[in-house]
Amino acid sequence: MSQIFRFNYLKKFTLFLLPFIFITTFSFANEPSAEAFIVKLSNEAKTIVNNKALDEQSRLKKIEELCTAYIDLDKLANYTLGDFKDKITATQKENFNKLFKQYFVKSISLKLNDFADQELKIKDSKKVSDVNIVVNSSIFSKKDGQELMVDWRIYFNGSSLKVLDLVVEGLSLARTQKEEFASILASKSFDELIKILQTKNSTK
Amino acid sequence: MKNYLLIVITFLFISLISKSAFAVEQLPDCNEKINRAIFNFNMELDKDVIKPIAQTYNMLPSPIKTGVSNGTYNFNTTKTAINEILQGHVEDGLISSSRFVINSTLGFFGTFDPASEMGIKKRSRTDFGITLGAWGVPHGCYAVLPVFGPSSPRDGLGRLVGIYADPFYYVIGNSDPGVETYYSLEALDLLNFRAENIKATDSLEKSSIDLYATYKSLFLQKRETLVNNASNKTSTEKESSDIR
Repeated sequence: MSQIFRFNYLKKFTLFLLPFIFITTFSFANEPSAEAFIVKLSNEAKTIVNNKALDEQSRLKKIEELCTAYIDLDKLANYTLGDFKDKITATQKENFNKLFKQYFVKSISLKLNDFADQELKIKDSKKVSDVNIVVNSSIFSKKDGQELMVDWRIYFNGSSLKVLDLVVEGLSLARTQKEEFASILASKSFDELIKILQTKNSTK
Repeated sequence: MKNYLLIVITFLFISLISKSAFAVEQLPDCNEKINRAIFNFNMELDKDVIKPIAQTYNMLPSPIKTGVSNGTYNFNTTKTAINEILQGHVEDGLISSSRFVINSTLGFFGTFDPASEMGIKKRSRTDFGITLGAWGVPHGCYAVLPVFGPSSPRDGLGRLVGIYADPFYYVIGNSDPGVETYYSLEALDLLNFRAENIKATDSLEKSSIDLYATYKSLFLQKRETLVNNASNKTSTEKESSDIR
């Protein structure tokens, strides 16, 4: 039996992408613009997932556009490097960000395939600092009748809203990624991390 | 089983006496090499034995799987109820107890869930590791247990205490089916969980670049969330501004 046996939450974590799929909005409208932002993101994702005419390459391209428009991938990439981001050159950082983006889009694409029967409901939203907003939502799986709580961490960059993190039942996508990279940086090296990302991105 | 318990206790003891076992807030991986070796062993065991069994189990008709899922959940309800009370949530403990009584009787040993139909909602499971966390006991060093996977001295101890403080253990142990039945139900619970999560774990394996670190992170975050819930704390606001 493996690790997974005590991980009653793994399924939930892997479902972190579900909000991209379906959306029905019920809102207390504390932060209506943030809620509308999530609704729009989810609807657009749903359109991509349900478009069976797209081939794999076009689908990836669409998901990449979606991620770029709604998620601050540079901030996320920076965060996942932790303190290490201060130890690398601007060129290294640029290269890392580019690879991270590809890796992120590919991961999302992989996971989106698995969950097509989900419905997302906005529950609440609140401003937690001048620029940070948390939108609370739930995702209901029609197939297994399971409901998951998903928090969207969003920030306002002065002109638009961007997603920074998804937290599914307490599991943060960003933190998990950061800890995974940290493990590689601690045991290997930054160059090795770059190589691993390159390999992962080139694998079908 | 006794041998296995001895190994677990020894391992936990080693973790406990490690230099920084209770000194660091962030869970240290004091025995990473050993942990990674056990992790790899667990993954192989899963690939060769557990996953195939779980895949076969998944072929069973849905009503049977739902019955097993309800039954194993019900089997754990006594543990949940006791721990809810120990965490200071007496009302929750009473609700869980009432669910147990209703489902064990009207629900045919818990395979059906009439309590939910009566409006007594299913509750999240909790355990003695969470209770210890809510009482302020830190994890100690991260530890991967053979078969059971990610754990810590606190949670490993919680697991053992959870079994031996479970009234159900003695009810079954002192009756005809014997204590083996109790362990069989524990194993069935694990199998049911594995079967429910095949897709999710496959997906993780595909996307992860260091699966050991991913599982460790997920374990820590989940336990942290459960402890926070048990202590009525929330970390959302703080963490939301961590990414800059």
